[in-house]
Amino acid sequence: MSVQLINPGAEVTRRGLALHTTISAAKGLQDVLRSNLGPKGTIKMLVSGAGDIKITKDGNVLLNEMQIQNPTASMIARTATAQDDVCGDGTTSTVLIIGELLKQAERYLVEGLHPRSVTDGFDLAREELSRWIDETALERKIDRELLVEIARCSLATKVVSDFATVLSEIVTDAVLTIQREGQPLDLHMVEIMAMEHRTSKESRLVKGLVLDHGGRHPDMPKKVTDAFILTCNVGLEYEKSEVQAGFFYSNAEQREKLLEAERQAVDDKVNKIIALKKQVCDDSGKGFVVMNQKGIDPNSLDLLAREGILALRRAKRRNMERLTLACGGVAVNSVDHLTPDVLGFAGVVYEQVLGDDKFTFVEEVENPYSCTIMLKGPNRHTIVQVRDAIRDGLRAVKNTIEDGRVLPGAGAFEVSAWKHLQEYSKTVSGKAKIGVLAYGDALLVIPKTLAQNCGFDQQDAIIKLQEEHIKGNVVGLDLASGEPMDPVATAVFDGYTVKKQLIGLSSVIATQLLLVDEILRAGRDVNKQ
Amino acid sequence: MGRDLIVVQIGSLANFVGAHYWNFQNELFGSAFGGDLSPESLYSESLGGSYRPRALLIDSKGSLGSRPQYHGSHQHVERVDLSWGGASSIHVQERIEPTEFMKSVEEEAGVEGTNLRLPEGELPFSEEFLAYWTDYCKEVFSDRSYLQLDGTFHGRPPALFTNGQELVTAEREDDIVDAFRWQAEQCDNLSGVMTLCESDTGYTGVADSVLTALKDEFPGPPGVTFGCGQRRRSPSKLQSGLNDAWLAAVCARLDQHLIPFSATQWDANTFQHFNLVDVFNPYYSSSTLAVGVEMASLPLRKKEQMSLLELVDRLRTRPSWKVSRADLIFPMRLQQDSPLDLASPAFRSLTPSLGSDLSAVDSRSYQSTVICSRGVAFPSNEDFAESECSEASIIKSSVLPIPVPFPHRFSAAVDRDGNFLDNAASALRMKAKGKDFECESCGVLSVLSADAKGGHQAASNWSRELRMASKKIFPSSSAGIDHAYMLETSELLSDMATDFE
Repeated sequence: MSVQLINPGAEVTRRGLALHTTISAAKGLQDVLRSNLGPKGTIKMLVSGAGDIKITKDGNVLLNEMQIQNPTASMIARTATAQDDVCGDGTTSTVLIIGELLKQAERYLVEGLHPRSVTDGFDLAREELSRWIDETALERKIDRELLVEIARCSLATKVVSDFATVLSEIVTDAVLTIQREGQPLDLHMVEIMAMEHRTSKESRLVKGLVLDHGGRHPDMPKKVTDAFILTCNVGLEYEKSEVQAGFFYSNAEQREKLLEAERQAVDDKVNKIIALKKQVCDDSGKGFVVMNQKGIDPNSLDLLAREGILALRRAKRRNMERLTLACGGVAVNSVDHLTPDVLGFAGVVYEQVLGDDKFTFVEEVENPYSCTIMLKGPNRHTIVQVRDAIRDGLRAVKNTIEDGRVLPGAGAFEVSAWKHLQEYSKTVSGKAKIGVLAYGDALLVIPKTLAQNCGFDQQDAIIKLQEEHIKGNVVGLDLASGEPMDPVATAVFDGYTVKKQLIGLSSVIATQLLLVDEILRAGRDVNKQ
Repeated sequence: MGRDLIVVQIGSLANFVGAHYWNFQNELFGSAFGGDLSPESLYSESLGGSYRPRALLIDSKGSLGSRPQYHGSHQHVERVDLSWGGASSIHVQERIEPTEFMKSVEEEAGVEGTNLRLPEGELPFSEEFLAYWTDYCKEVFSDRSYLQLDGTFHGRPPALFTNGQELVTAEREDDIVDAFRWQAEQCDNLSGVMTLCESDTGYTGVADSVLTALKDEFPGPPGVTFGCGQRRRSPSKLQSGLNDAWLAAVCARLDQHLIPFSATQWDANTFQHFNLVDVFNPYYSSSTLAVGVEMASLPLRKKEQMSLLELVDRLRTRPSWKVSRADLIFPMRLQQDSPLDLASPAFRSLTPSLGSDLSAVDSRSYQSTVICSRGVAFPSNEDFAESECSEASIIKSSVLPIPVPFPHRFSAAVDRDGNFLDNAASALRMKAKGKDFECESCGVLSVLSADAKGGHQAASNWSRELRMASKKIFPSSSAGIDHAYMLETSELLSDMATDFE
């Protein structure tokens, strides 16, 4: 009956076959990403049909580059994206664990076990682990040292290790700069500005702001010291009514008059700014900078330039927020009743021209609550690669600050979770026990893959780790020797949120996929050309 | 006066149209034909002194074909600094070769102002197999103009507007707004945004997110949106109708003026003067749509003519009439004895959703009619002195240069100067294919007008589509858009329909 209800053009895949399709897609995706995992993973260079180069090791970036048509694979890819959105890390692990969960389940399914029994076990295991992860997490004092280590662990999987060391300090300091007592961290207050220039090792943290545009008048100062900064959102453009209001005139004279009045209105606004400048600077040698979110037309620029004011137009809305955080002052929406206390202050504001691009640096500010990571690189793809890494590093640091705890890394968490599930399974009765054990085995894919990517024997490594854990030592895999090591002593940590999110997401999606018994491709493919 | 325009192109077909459009601009820029136009309205001068179009090209991944996203970044694979100590693997996609035409463009790029002409009788490429707009676009854009959306690939547009909305993630939205801001920063006086949007696919959802974000960030300038639809081999009527309706709703909500261009109903006979060789090939349909865009935007680009705000004001007989129709005679005889007749059967509608017949337009709306002519001796204001058309704005310019490459459909119907031959029909029949480029310029006449009856009809159709869909596709609440929102949007459009009555 159900078959007749669906579109006769639909393509239907039934039970056994559906499960098989699902599992093989998951395994396929797992195979693709397997080699990425860990600091010894393989970096991938993708060259597009047009010769564009993309270099990445980030699971999420890779998944975005792949043309995924298989519905199962695209569900898994979306899960990885969700993982990335929340944590900025663990995308590869998500895909690996989902694949492994399905692979483990398949072992029992071919023996005739109903998928429901397996998923019941998965659900129990997930709930148990979510509870247990809070017990096992290491409460640590969150200081700069620890944060740098965390950042390094995240970055070392994405860029070369000595550069990761440099970057980890940059991202940690960036996050610490914007941290304000009693307020949630907003990573938007860290701007990442890319400059195609020299080498990526010259990247640095600017405690202040870098904008990707400059003054639009040749006579404006290129460098202003001891600068007052007026942050405003005022249209200094001629004829820019925001409501629809046409000109109504009956002859040329009237038109001229109207135009003149409009011009006068703009000039008045500019003059008010100039008056404020005269008031605060008053021949004291201090400078004045105007950052406007709206436009400034050439006439107004000219007026400002004559007064030695550096004016930037069309600043990013987010930069308006950042500017007041970095330099102090208040962003104003009107130039009426301007007072000196709306002004911010910066030690130096200067322009730098690089090829077709112009950058404006606002530096030497007191108490910055906003900063910029000035990212340099010899070419576009290096910049893109490093920028992706920085984004992830920032989130790793932020998550750790918010969690207040960390997990032992290098596979130690997964092995101890396996051990815990082994014990927990004894308290579970019925077929669900199988699911719980399968879940534990699936988690081992992480240390196994780590070992494999370093060139060690998977089984050797995993058995050594398991034995140590059974003895009661929480150990991870030493990527240099393939032997067990103490992750806490060597400062290899994983993020708490990352793992928690990972366990939740991957079990839910694996459970759903296992319960799929029909795949319908409804209707015709509308996109077929 | 605010002159500076920014062009936003959303979706594959929009970029095909855009490529033709920029080819026209490229041809006009610095040529005698464009003497009365101001190129500054579309181009910015960079610090390095080169002129770049102010455009944002939003498309799917891989849509750039043979053109690298970053110009001048042709690196040798072995010279790449991996900044990675460990193992690496290289995945190379099959190289997409640029067309012979694009190769010749690149060769000539060094010489300023060269008029690219291919040897007589030679086609720049085989038009039938063009897959990318980059295969024929002569214009060079700034690196920051290109924006590709993750999650969609060339040739597989999102099916429904809801899919399109999902493509614009918060991060992507930031990128788009920032790219726009970067273009806006170069404007001395931003007049507004001109949007081209593929209207029959899920890109309308992308347009929704993008235009809403831009409106939020840059509340000032009004905008004009051109929809672009194309005949597809396997159309899903329901979906494309819904997408069309969604674009209309987006424009109504954001106070954008919509001109819903569409080639969905064209067949080989629509523009009878020349062969519409393949109605399914976007290269052909987009070229005619591009002529429509070129003509419609003419008033904005003339020196001292209209700002975008004024044009929109003019087109709207009443503030709530947010949709206009566009009709075109192309190519047009340069000399003509009889005066202009708006009821002429030669007019072809570019906006079939508002009805196909220009003569059916209520004469009262002539006050909000804009007539643009290129190269054609009429209309002059005297032509209309006695008639009800006397209120219409008339914009005239020199003939429209036909850039290389333009589909060689003109065949034998038009002579070199763009004069339409008397025996066009028979000439056409005799030499159907393989004709060289004879035509370098031609006359065009276009009419933009408000249409009460058509507007009412179109708006009620759109409203009905959405109401039906709210029942069928989104029964209660579905991801992203819920039932109530659909009904609300449908109401918005039905209000629009009432306004048109």
